[in-house]
Amino acid sequence: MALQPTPQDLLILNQRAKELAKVNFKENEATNLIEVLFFNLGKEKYGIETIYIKEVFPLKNYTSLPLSPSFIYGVTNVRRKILMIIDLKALFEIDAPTPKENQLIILGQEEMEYALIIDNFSNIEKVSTEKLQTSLSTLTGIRLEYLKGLLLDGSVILDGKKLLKALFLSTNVEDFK
Amino acid sequence: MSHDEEEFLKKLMATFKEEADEHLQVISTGLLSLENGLAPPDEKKLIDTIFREAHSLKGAARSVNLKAVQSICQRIEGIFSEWKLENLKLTKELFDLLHSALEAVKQGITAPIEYDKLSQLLDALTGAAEQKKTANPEALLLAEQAHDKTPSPLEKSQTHSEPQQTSCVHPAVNDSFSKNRDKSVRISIAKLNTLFQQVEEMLVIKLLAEQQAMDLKNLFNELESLKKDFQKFIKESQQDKYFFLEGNEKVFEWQKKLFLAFEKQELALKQAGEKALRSMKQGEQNAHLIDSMVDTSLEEMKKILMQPMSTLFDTVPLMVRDLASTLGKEVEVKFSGGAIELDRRVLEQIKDPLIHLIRNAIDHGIESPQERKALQKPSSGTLKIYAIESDGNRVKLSISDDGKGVDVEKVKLAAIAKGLFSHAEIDEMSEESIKRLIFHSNISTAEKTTELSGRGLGMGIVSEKIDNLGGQLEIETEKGVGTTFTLILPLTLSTFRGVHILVSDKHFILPTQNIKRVLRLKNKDVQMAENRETILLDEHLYSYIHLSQLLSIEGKRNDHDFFFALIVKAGEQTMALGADYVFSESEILVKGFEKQSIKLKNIMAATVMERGDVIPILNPSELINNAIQSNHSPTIFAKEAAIRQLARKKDILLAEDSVTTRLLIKNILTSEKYDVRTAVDGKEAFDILQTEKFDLLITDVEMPRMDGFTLTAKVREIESLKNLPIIICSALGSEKDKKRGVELGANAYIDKNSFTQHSLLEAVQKLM
Repeated sequence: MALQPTPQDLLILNQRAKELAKVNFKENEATNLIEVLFFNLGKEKYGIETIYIKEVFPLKNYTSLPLSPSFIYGVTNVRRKILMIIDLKALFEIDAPTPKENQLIILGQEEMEYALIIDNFSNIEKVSTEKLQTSLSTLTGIRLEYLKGLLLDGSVILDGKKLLKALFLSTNVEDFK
Repeated sequence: MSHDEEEFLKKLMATFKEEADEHLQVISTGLLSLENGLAPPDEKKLIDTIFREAHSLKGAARSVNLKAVQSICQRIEGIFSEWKLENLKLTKELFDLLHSALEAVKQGITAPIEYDKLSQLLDALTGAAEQKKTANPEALLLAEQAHDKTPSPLEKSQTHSEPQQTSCVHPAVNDSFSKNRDKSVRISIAKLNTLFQQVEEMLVIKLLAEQQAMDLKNLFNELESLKKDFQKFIKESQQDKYFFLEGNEKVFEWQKKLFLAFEKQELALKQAGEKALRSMKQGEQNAHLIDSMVDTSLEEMKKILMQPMSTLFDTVPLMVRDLASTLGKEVEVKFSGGAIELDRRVLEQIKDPLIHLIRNAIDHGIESPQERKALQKPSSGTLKIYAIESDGNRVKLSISDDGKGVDVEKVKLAAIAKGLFSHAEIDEMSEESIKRLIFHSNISTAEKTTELSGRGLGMGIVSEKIDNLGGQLEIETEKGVGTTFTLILPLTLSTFRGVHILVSDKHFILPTQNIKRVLRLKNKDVQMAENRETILLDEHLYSYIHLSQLLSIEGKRNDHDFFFALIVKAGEQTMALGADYVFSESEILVKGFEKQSIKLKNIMAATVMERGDVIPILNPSELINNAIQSNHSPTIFAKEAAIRQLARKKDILLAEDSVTTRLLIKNILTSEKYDVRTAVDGKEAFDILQTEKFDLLITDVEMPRMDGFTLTAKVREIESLKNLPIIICSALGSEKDKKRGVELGANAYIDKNSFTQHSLLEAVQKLM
């Protein structure tokens, strides 16, 4: 006799199917979430996806470089590796002093690595990409190029990939300015 | 696609690229030797080899799903199998087609090929395979079957097996090679580089150990002198009769206690000193041990990073072939010394210079077949590339063509046109120096000089690259016979040594290899000449600029009236750079900005000090170039070089009654390597002129006993002095005076009121 599902079996199977469908639905939603690290630059709040961030720590000492463009804050030694420190405030023309207690974000992907100097690290939060606004009316200039989107509270999510790419392409600092 | 899968495919693709490169290299090298003709048995073997390579490449392409590459390889394989059966006629067209097919494969690996191009190529290849007779189907089948035993492409890529594995199917072909392979393994360069960096990092341990040994020694010395002081004090107190002064019982008790305490302290100090001595000795031993271990590891590591010269040569034949056929020239290329091993990093650095020199040789050196025939040379030019080891740690790499050679006259004209030298200077220069001019990397001049000399652009860059490696570049050329460039290179890159300097409050390192001298000078040693700061050293005038000015570093300079001058040489240029302090010269671990592509002005790399601070390493050639640019007067360097090369010093007689003016002019002239004799007035000058020979006379006008005008007139009356160039240098600057001077026979008239070093030297140079 061939196995035939009883109505009871069918009920269980249906329920299981629903359950599975639910899980799938949740997973789908999850892929729309990105994990963002937020930080402050002057009065403004910025964020970068954590997948581009290797670590965050306070900047202890650094060496400034002569004749370098303003957006290069200097160089520092991270576990005996030398990293250039990029000053986003200079890049975005934000007129605010960098506090003494500042922090570094190591931004990197594959063969590229830079340190970004930030005022302070705020928090890490999951953000739904659907909530990101890409209307750019409030943003101007260089920031536009690295924008992933804006959140309702005004914080700016930067596109880590584009930022790295721009730094990569600017082999000549004069091009960058 | 999941992330892992994506990663896997990426990795697979990378492996494939590497593998494909090797296959392509073997095929193209094979084709080139076939084209040149081989003995039949060798030819057969070689055809087998390249057939197999094409087959493996096809399989590998299949595993990464590159259909276009796959189809091209299939067609190439088809041609080779016809070839094996001796069904094909080997024509130049066929070789051209195969080479272009290989080129297409190379492109196809990185980017999709256009459809039209692909189908055209495939048709051509199919056509070529069917060119003669229809293929013998049985033979083709057999040829295919021989390869069924090769591992399937998927297996290959999954196990990341090496392409040479196919050779196990044909053990006869590369027997010796496979035996050797048992004794060696392949390691990726990336892994080796990581390891090398780690070993290099150990330099820090070495430096730390040295520092520690030094600290311990200092500690011991301090304890010793403390102990001596203490002993002296105790001895003195014991001998002092007032020390044990009888009297108050309480005081006496205290004195006794105090004295006991002293003795205890003395003993403790002695023991501490002994411990310090032991530690010091141990520390010294450790430092010694670490020193030799680190040095040996580094040395061994460098040897591991050595690669044969042939890796550099491999790509040359194809390049030569392409270039020759585009330019309509016939070139045969010969190699020797491919087995010499040298540092991979050196090989990497000379790749571009080599390509550049080869291009130049074919483009500008070797003549077209017609021209060559007319010159009774064989229609095909020969390019010899050979390497020989010389004095232990060096290798000489020569690139020699039998073309038309460098036209020295054209180089001369170019240098004059560029204002680098005057006619007179050029005429005085040796042929050797003129030939060297084509390496002149003076930003604005390099182009024209070399363009006209028929040696293409960027010879300066070649020179600079070789210079950066601590190598030398030599040229031998004979008009109509050919040109040989010789690169003298180090086999391994020596450890970087640098000089640690202070500019304002900022620390920098300058590479030792570029520093000729370091001097402590007084501020007044800097003289103004030609509107720029200069330093006179050993009768040589160096342009000078303080680094704080060059690097625009504001801040406190030291208040002393002295500073340090570093005589820095980069390429063909030398100048003096000022610093506020020079600390030390030592071994330095260079850290590049590997993962950061922003190029920094004047800075080539950095180093990390023991305490963890980062110190930038300055780039000497950029510094000098920037200094020249900011001064808008590049010529002084070239002139210095030219004057250095003057075969004979020129003698100048200077008649001038003012002591100050006399010294000033004399200084200017001697700094430019002229020999100067002075006379206090016209009479004395005239007397000297009658007994001694001079190349030039410079005279003032208003002088006691005999004035300049009279002197000029009298000199011109003497037959042997008729052609002696005369410059009148006077405060009498009116047109009337000038006219009179010239009428009397002066060759130039310089007004002292608008006198500059430049105008004087210019006049002097013009007249000699």
